[in-house]
Amino acid sequence: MRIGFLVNDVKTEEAGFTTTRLGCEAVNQGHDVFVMGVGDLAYDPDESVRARARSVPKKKYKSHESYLADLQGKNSVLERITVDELDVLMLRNVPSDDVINRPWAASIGAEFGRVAMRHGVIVVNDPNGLTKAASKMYFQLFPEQVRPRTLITRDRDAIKAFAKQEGRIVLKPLQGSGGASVFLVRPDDMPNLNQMIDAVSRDGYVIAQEYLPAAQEGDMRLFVMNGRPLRVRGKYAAFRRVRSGGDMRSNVHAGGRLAPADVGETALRIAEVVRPKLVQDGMFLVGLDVVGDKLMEINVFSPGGLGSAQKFTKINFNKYVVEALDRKVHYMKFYGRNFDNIDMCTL
Amino acid sequence: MKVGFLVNDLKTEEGKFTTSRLGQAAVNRGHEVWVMGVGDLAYDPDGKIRAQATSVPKTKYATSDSYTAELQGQNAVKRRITVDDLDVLMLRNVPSDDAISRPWAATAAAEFARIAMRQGVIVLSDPNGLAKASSKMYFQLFPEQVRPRTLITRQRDEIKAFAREEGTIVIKPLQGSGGASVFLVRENDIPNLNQMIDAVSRDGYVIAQQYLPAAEQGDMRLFVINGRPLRVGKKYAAFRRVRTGGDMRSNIHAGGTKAAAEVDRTALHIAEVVRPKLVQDGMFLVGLDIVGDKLMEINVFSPGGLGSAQQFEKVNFSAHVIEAVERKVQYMRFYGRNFDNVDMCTL
Repeated sequence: MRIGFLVNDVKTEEAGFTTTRLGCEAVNQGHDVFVMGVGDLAYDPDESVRARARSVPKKKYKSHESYLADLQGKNSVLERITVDELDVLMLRNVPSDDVINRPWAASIGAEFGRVAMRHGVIVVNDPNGLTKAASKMYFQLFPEQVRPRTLITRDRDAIKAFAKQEGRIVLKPLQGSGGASVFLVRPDDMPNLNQMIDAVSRDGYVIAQEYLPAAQEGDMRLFVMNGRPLRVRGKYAAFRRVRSGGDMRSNVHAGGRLAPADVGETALRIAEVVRPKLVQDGMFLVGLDVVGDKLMEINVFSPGGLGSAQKFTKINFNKYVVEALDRKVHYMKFYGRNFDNIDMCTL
Repeated sequence: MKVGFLVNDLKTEEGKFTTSRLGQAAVNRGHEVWVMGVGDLAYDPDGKIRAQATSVPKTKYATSDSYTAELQGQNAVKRRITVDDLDVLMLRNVPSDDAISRPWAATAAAEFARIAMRQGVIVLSDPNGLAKASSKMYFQLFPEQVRPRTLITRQRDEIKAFAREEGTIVIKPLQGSGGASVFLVRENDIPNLNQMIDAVSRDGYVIAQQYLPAAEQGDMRLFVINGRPLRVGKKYAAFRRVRTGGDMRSNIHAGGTKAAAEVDRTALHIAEVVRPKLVQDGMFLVGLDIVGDKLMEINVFSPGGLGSAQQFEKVNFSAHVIEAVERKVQYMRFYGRNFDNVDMCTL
């Protein structure tokens, strides 16, 4: 198949990224792989979406490091491709990474993806689904039983009342991610609460969330593909992030250690509860962040960490993700346009 | 019925705004009307959307100016309302007005409304439809025969080649609106083209569009309601914007006079061609900007100018818009949740 990966910027991709692993795997399986940044697209007067895309020479790569070196180096081929004519376009850019310096870039994957898919290219995850998930408000559309209690407001007094009622809460902005401006508010932090609210509300609405004591031990990331936990030979694509030191953010960017995960009945039940909504919105590959019996986050934009799951389980999950995409391409060949993109995303 | 109007900010509303006219019409027809700003919302821990909303004390207002003055004055009624319990919520904020100083506010309306509508409030226009329309790329999803030829790119060379090919083009940013950074590029402007592209591409992608000579005479705004031109008797809700002086932007914000419009077969044909997509996306009230036999823009976010149409046609279109909203509330009473919000928007 001909597969495109849309990333923030080809130059800033790293070998450890899940996108790099998927690209390398696809090349090794013999597919044509093109990588392009969110600034490399164009809508042409003939209504086709085109891109200045990079590809690597056709060969087997021993490591994703050597694949990425070829992709970013002199051996790569830069050409203007027609995105509509790809079999699959995988939206793997992280919108929140562009929020500060290139705010226009955050929604570009969905905007161009929506135009390109009219001509048949399968776009994963579904651009219309991703648009619904542009802020953390998306999370509130999932059933309450698997979420912490949450208040979202710009009203200082409402946040204070919620903090008093809950004892401990977490504050974070409705938009943005990566662990910036995430505060843990304990009862003796009340004197600082005003300043914390100021810091977070600078970016808009504030999410105030029930603190889950289980978060002290970190969280588990579980990959969900086609609406079901990604499982190969009895092993789940998952890993644990263990908190290090006093920082309450288990998010890896903000420090923390990785460990193998034990995917129990609780985690599987959560995955089952979120399944209908993920299918409805055409979410092909998703990362669930689980703490105890609750979800902390649903990552639908370029979820990362497949390499960590592979390290702990010794399973090359990338292979199965690429194979799942290849099956969609075959479905399309059999059925043509009988299926909407959004349905194809989780078939 | 209980109807809410979501606006950018209650304080900055003006009596001449279409939203004020609709509010006045709704009050005069005996409805309970609540107005709230995009910063006044809250998602409460019980899963409901609430808002600090404002209403007026009287049941009849002679003008939209007196209605707005009372809404913004000391006699206004302030209350924290449950948005889910309204019959209808009209999203009437203009996201582009918040793009610079409150970027978070641009999408807040759709985010909160998507939650509220789970509980039954009819949201107009449909939040998921509006989310798809958040940039001008939405326009490219309508059939080519009613649009100018368009290129969207960040590549300088591609824009130059397009300018040479077309002779005269218009360049503007993909995101944002209001007539800022819109340039007319004629053949003898080529020496300045680099600077023009720089000015526009600062905001992201650049739209380069075929210049329509008919644009010199200005454009026509035609209102479309429930997917059909808004017509009362033989009069269409429409008006013309005539260009003044040398400024190529017929946009009222950038200067221009208004005149009565003649809605001919060409304009009606265009409205017919865009109808399926407007219905699919649940666009209740839309403003089409027409130049000759082409569409220049489709305004789905809080289209304005209904007062101008009223002035030239001597018809109270605002009352007819409210009537259409009343019918939806009746439908909901008969049918309950048999219809999705997106369908109800154009029924």
